[in-house]
Amino acid sequence: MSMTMLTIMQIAGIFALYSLVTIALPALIFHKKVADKRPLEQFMVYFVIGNFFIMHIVFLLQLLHISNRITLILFTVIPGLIVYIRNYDGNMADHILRWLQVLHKAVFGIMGRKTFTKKLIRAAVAGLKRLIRKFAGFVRHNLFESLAFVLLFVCLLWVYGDNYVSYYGYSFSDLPVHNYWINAMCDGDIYVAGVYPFGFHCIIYYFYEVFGIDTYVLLRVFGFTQMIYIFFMLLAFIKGICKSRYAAYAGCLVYAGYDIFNLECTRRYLGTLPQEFGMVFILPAIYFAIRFFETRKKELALPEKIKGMSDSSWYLTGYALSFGMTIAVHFYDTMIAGIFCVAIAIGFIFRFFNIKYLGRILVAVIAAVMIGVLPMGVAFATGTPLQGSLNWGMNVMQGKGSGDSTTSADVNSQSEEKKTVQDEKQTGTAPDGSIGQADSASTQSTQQAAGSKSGSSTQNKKLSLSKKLYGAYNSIKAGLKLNVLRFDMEFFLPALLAVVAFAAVMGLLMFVLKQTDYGAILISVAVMTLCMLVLVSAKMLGLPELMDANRSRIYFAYLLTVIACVAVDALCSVWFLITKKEWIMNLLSLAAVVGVVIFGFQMNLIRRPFSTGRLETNGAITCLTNIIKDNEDNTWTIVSANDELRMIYGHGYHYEPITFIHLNESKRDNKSIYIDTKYVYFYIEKRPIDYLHPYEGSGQMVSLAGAGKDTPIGSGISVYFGENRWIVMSKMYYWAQKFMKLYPNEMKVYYEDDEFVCYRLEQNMYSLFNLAID
Amino acid sequence: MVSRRNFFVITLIMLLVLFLFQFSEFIKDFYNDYDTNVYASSDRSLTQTSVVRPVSESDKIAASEDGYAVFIGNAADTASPAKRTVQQWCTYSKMNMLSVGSPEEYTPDTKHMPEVVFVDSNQIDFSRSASALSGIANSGVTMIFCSLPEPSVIEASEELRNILGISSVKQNKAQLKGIKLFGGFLVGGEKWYIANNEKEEKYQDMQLEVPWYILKSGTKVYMAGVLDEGRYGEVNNELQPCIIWRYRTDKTCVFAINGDYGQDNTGLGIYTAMMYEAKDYDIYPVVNSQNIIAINYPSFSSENDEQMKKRYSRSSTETLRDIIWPNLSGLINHFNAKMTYMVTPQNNYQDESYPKQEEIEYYFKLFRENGDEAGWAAYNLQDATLRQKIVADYDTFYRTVPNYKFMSMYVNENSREKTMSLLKTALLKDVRTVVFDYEKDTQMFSYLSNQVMELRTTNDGLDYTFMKDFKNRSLQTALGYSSITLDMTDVLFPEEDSPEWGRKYEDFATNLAEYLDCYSAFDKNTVSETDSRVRHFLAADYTEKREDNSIKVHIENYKENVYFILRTHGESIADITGGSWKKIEDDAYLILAGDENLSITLKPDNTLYYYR
Repeated sequence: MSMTMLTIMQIAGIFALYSLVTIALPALIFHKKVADKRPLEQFMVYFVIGNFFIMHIVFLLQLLHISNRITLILFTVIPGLIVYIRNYDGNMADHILRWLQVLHKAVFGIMGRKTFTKKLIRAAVAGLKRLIRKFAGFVRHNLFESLAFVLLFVCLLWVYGDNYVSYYGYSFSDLPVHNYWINAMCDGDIYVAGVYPFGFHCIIYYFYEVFGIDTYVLLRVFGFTQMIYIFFMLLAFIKGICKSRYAAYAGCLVYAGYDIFNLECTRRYLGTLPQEFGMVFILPAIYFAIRFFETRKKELALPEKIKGMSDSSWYLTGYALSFGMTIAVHFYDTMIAGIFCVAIAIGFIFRFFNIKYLGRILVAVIAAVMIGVLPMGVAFATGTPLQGSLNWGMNVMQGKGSGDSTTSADVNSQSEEKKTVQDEKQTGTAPDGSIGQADSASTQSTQQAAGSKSGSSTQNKKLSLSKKLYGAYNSIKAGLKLNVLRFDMEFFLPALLAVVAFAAVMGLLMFVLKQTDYGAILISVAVMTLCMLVLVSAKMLGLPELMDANRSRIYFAYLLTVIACVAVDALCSVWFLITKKEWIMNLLSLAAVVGVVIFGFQMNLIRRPFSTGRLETNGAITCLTNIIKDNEDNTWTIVSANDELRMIYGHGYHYEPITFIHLNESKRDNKSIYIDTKYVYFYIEKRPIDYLHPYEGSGQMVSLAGAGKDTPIGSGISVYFGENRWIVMSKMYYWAQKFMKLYPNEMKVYYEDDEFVCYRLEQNMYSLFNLAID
Repeated sequence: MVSRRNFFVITLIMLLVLFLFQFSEFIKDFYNDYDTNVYASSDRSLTQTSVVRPVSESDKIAASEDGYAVFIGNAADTASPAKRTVQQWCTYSKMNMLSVGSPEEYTPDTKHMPEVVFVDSNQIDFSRSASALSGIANSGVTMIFCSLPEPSVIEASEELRNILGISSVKQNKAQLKGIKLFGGFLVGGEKWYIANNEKEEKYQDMQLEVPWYILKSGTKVYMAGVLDEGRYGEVNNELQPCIIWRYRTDKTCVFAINGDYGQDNTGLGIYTAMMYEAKDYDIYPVVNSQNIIAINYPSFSSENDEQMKKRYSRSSTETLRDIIWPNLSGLINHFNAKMTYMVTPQNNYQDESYPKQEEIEYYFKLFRENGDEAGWAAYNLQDATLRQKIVADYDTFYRTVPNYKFMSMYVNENSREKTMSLLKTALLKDVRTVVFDYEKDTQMFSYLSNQVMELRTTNDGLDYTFMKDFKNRSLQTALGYSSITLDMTDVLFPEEDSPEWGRKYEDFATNLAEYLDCYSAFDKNTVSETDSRVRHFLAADYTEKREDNSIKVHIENYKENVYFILRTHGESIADITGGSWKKIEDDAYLILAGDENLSITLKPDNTLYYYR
């Protein structure tokens, strides 16, 4: 089977499993509770419950140090069953008894095996038929919407899918670190490198432990599922706040399929990263908050007090869970969710300060923060220090840190981690370790722009307010051009401001037309957009930079879709308010979808599949997959630089080539290198990749010249950067050639392509080969 | 009351049942032509003259394109044990052999390099010859040191150490606890010759006092000693004294044997395995035959009854028939083997007890049913001469199984002349195979006369030791041959302290498993079948060539089935034309050439599950 096919199957399988656990199972249990809600709202409810449950089950079991496959399955199934039985309308006892009787008959031979199997298949087929009928009915009644949905899905596959099936290795240098932390969870150590938001890791760990999917496979391809859900959530949210049916599709198609944003705004969707995973919980929190304001008003208008939990309370619960999960996954997501919440508070200001709302909101916010922070707080209180990146994040917020992230740390040692961050700062590479050139260029440009800004700050004091505003306008425009936009669009900022103003005006108009909730939403979105504009331009404007622009632009581009859709929707809604005919509104929004597609093709704005750089050759991952399949666990070692160190956890052992070379070049008498596994695999890049740090000889093949150079000094990842990698690989290559001459039958080429070669050495465990040869 | 009708039906059914049982027995008995030997072959074409013998003249070797071996250490007058072994190995490997006295006398012919150079260290003065040996080693030829010089000689010569891959001499004599034979060298896999308990102590007869050398990197160890921790402390596996190893550099490939294992027939398999290790694959002819021979069993006269009754509460014939036969036949069936019974009609020719006809018929029928063969055992316990015994036995067999041709016989004395004279008698005129006991420096197979083959047994089934196990593995590797004997004399005429049959049977069954279990792929034959296999083995010559993944073998003098062992390094057989194959173990295959041209296609063992 080809690796591409395997990767496609892995992507499909993981997408299906994730959907099963976070959507299908909660749906099975709660579908009756939310039967009266819109499908998009049902989707959000299921998704939030599913993720919250999984995340916190893992948290709990990890903190109790009893996390393993059995406990995870038990803690998933038993609470699920209890809730299912409690929610079941019919007589559950009868139902269970009926099936137990069938089982009894089958076990004791009263019912033949064939009959039993037929009965099971018949029941399954009947259920499947029901589901298909329901689905077909849904599609029939929502034909255009279904088509638009398929179009969006295909667009996402086209744009983002290619990278996943073309490049098998990790694309971001953060991933080995996350891999390491998740591996440690398997040993019951959830905070191995200090306290860190572990929601993302809990989810990955759950799928590793329960379904036996290797962590490295999940980290390679789960990003696709994550990206799909980011878009689905965006679509659901926009549909949820819009009146027209298709406006959301128009916006999402532009965001997914138009080549107008800087690649760095979406590049991270090509990886399995916590920040992006956390994005899926921002919009449900906002949606539930909006729905709270709407529902609470209606409830307050009721003459009688509602018994038990009211709908608004449920929405607030949903808000708390979603907001809490943003804290549990990534603080940046919390910040964005917070900004949007402030915008909603402004939009719904006429209700927000009403004690009947505010009291509940405060409780919900405290609960949300507690949910997110408590597990980390407990660990911190019991003496586990904060993980480095949290300190960095806090420094950034306090204006002490630079714009670079620390999460692209070296996976080998904590001390090296610091060095790596310094290296990154020096070389100006992407903070996440991605090796996109555009990113570093834009960062530099941003810094230049900021420099020019600060240089002229003293003069600005003397300028009039209008000139100051004009200066700020120009700074924002330049910043957007550099950070957010793919190419120069002079009209972009004025157009954006116009759209914001339009949304705000329309919001006010809606207040006049007694469409209070919708008006508040429009104003909230307008305010949120302005806040995001300020956030992404904070450095330009000389404001404290709450978030590195490299990260904030991702959210900015994401949420621009909301304002764009809302503006289109507002326009369509006006016609609805005038004509009172819903079909006209929907037709107009459908026209917007068609227009978006036609315009995109006509203006040649359609995005091509894009890829990010890679930190590992495809050959290396192909080999790793084969090695795991070929051999018994813990009978082999891989000598490689360097991502395999974390990838092979639970399967085999890893040896650093730099250690190998240092030992081999040792001047000691009787020097020896023994690797005590039956099989040893040597990974050698014939054309060494640029691991984060390109150099002037980038792309050259290993050579005797490289092998003749001095061995890089040190340990950790820096010895595999730039030219060092070429030297290390050259030395390893010529060592392997020599060793193969001495042991032609024992050391063989396991895999080879144009850029990578893997040698396999088979040893006698009772008489290992001395790998130290001159 | 039973009605007449029912009575009739019951009687009819009983008669039918009786008929069915008796009929099958009757038919079996009727068609059992037990008085003929099914293994009596009429093919007389392969004789002593058919044997392919290695050329030893230097000019003929130079003129020939065939592969050849060089033996350095040729003593002036008599052949050293190492040379005799190498000669034998060359005969079986179909390789010519050039002998020279010292390294200085030999200069590698770069146009026609030898396959291997054997060095008999016992015959070489290393103080003079180390440089010359170094020159030979650097020519790129594979070298095998049949034994090593004294540690003091090695310590004194850096050149010699460099050839052998010895870094230093740790001790001149180290006392070993046992020896580990690693897998992948000899066919049959890994074996540890370490006595772990008192019972195993009696098996330990390996050479446990050896020089202790520390080896350089670039070496691969095939057999290593295990030091006694109590005496030497904890020593890493890699630093334990090595017994057999290979040292390779850019130019050389040198094998060394630290001990006497290469000095006798045990060396045959070691050399074969070394050749396999020196190459990326090896294909060589083998006999592919495993014999089990019962000597002096059965006996057809009731002798030594008193002692038998005392031990087994049965007469001699009853003991042989009711106790021993079921045990033996069951065991042989378990191994899917065939037994050759070297019968002796009677052991005492002076008493009044004569062989019973019904006993002879009974056993010969069983032999026929089981596919076994009867041969003749040429020794008796009493003081009758062989001539008397032959006359008496001839008379016995002539009366009972006149048509049975004895094709094989067992002789417990190493007198070829005496044996030859026996073969002229009427009883033994059809004999084509004479089985002798194993002797460590005598050829395993040779011709007694133009027609009669001499086969050597390999092991006594009642005597297992580590050294014998090692020898068995070596011979199986080189020849795919074993011949295990069970001498029943001590059962029939036991000494006072001799164990009873039950104990002996237990030992025999255990030892048989030790000797045969790893070699289930090899055919189990009677002596006559083995004789035929050996004749074909000795007569066939072959050439082989590899092109990409295909090995082409051409067999000269091909008559019928010739067997080969193919050993690879991480490759398996994808397809074969002109023959068939069986897997012996990983990387070792038994190949039957059904035609004079054989083509074997190989494929790598480790094909990738996932590819780019």
